[in-house]
Amino acid sequence: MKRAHILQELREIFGPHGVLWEDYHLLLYEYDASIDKGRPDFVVFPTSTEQVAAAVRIANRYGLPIVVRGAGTGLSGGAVADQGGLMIVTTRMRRILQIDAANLRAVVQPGVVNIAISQAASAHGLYFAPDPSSQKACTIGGNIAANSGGPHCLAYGVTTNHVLGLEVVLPDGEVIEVGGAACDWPGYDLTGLMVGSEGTLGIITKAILRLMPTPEAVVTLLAVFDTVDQASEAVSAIIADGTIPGAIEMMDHTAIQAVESAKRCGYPMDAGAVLLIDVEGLPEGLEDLARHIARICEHFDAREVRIATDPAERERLWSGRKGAFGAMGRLAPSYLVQDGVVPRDQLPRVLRQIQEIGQRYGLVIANVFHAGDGNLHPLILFDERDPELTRRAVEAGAEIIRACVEAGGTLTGEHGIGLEKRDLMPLLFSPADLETMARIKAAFNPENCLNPCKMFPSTKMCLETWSRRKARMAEPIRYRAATSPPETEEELWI
Amino acid sequence: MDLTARYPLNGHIPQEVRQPQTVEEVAEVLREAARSGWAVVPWGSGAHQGIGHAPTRYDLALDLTRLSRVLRHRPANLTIRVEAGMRLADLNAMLAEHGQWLPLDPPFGERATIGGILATGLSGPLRARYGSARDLLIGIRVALADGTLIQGGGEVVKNVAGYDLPKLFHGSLGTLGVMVEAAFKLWPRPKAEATWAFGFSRMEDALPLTLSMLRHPGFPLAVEVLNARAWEMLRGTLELPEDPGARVWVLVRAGGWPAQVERIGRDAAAAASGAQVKDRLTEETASLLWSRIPDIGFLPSPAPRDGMSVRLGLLPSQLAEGAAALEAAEEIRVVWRAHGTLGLIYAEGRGPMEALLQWADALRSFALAQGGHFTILGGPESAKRAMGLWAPLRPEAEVMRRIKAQLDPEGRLNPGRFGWA
Repeated sequence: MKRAHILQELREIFGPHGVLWEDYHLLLYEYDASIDKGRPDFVVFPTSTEQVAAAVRIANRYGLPIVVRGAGTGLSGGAVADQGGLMIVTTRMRRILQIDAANLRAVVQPGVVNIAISQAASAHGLYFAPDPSSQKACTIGGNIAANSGGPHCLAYGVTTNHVLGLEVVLPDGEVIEVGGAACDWPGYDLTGLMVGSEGTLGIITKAILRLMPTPEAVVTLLAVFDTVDQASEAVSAIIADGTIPGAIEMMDHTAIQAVESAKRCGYPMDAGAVLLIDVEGLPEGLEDLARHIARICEHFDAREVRIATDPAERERLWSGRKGAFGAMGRLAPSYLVQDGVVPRDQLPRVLRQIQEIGQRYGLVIANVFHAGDGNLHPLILFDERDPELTRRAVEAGAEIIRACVEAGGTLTGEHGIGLEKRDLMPLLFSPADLETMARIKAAFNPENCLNPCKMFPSTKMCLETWSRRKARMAEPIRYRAATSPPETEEELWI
Repeated sequence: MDLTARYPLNGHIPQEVRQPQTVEEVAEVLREAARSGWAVVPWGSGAHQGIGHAPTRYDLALDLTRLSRVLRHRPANLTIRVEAGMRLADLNAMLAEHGQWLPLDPPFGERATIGGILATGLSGPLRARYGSARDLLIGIRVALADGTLIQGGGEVVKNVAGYDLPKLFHGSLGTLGVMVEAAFKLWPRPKAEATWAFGFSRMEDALPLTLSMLRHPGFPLAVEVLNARAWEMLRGTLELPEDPGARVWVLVRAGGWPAQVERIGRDAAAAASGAQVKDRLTEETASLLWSRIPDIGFLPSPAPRDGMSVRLGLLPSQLAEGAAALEAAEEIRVVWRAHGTLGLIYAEGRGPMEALLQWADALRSFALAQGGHFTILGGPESAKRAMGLWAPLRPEAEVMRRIKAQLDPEGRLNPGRFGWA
């Protein structure tokens, strides 16, 4: 009965074509690009901020958890409705509201696809710099929630460095503005806090972005090495030398095999590793700079360095990198991609550890990653239909993350914690660190109705807590493990 | 001299002073303060203690300048972790040996400590190229009000694990916790540099230059705009070009490989067609000039009784209107400078307090009408109380209040700095 009431209320706001509730429709919204699944009870497609706020109020009235989803390209399960509830899909909020070419600003709705912003800005010689590999599909709202990266974040920073202000619907339905088109809004930096908060603090309904001038010239280098070690040493040397290229990407032997058998982009099949390096900016001195970087690669025994200035040749060299994840299908039915980051001088050691972990679990691991940032993307190849292989892949992934943290790195560089890595959070953060984050969450989301159970360690209880939640909603949330009875301690992590 | 007298704020001195030497000692001091119910004001060099309201309670000065160690510098990674009491100038002197720098140039940067720069969120001209400390900060360690030590971020350049605590603490004026360590990404020093000065008779004529530098793919290091009064102050001690007809000066600082530097200079000169003077400065003059510019438009702490300094946040294309608004009051002597590509203006006014308040009030109305923001950075506490520290005060302030209540429930860290936190 309650379900019928909710549906009726939602249809009043969203009309017959703005709500999904039947199982065969909901199936399509039970997953993202991670391996976790969870079916929402209702899916709505708002076209305005007011509709988002209205949906939030309905969910609150009926005690439904809320999960926001853009294009569903996320890799950590952040947009999976594992507790059911109401899913708000932003893809019908896809208008670019303004391109201010004089001030290099864009104002967009959250459902705008990443690359559409650069396409709209290109007429003015501008672009939006963060370029996640899924940029042809992923939405800016998802990018902001995840603080997405991309190959060219080496020189220009990640999403958070390009977001100036947001309009946010809070979990109680109130709409606030944080930041704005000008720099340095006074008070706490709520914009900086919202970016990367994985939909747990508020719902982004509008964003003010910083655009960049398009580089006048780009030179792409392909450096071919016999071993991953040599290539990693070259990466560290290029960074330490004092020129920061636009991007430095690495692919190891396994990845090269997959890519070359899928499409011929001219990587030597017997190479141990290749580096793909973009130097860009002004044409003046750019080729000298490219040759300088080529010499550094040669110093670390690159057996061949190709320099491409012509757009078609550059495109061909990059096509392998951009299609690398897809090409893994040549080697195995499924892959699990990890996202650890290590200090750049630890790359050789950690890459060796990854190979060793693969051997120990009897799994093939390919590496395609943002070497300049130290952001690894080991692709663990397996077959999802085989539970034993799946279990081994997940365990090997966790072990790789552990190795990254031990090397002074972090759990995730750009994919987010979501469901996938929430139980790995204690590897990096103490109980006090996590408690502080839980308090910050409580300042925005005290009832924990927005994206519950994401980002914080689940321990035993997320589901249980949700079923008991309504009865306790009036109680204040307790944070202090030390002063609380043991059964409320779990509240901390939800 | 009594130690407490070295930490005056708005005419008050604290009852207690602590000068911890380690992070653990900071935590212990904060536990002591929690037991005693003391209101705590963290101190670095004191250069920026005038930012924000004077605290409403002030029992303990927590001096962090003895926490001044480099904890880990990984030159090959371009990352560093330091203690918060370290001076920026000392850090950059050390990094220069590696051809690296932390490219921050906030006001009073010769004295300022890392913790103070982070707490105030102040930046300088180099922000045009490198962003502010917000963009360079990759990790922090913080002692909370009860002495609990926490960390956020890490020591890698890309990291999305957990909430971005470095962003929250940056600019929080010491109201949420005491930053004790910070990790940064560093930049290589440019291989070559040059600075050009352009004098214009009106800000409108300078806009084509500043806006073309904003969209220049060579990314100039700094594009700083100064009014004539600021220029004359600098010219008192430096050999700078002169033009009695120039009301506005624009400095363009280019860095990179030599060919890129020359190209930026050529493009700047071409865009500055309305300039009366176009000069390339000598290396020595440029270096001295850039060390002095960040202090311009800022009042030192404690502020003089006849002065106020303010910040306007506008769009880069609104600087001409901003310049006109700043200089509209005849009885106020105004020195201002702006980050030309960022739209931030720092202005210092001198004159009778009543006229200063009218001047500030008009600027606030102007900034709000432009869709921007207004903040009083320096001046007598009475002026800050009369005006309110910043505008617009939006509904988001309620969320800020809740964050403050979560992290410092007893309200003992720099109470009242924001007016409400």
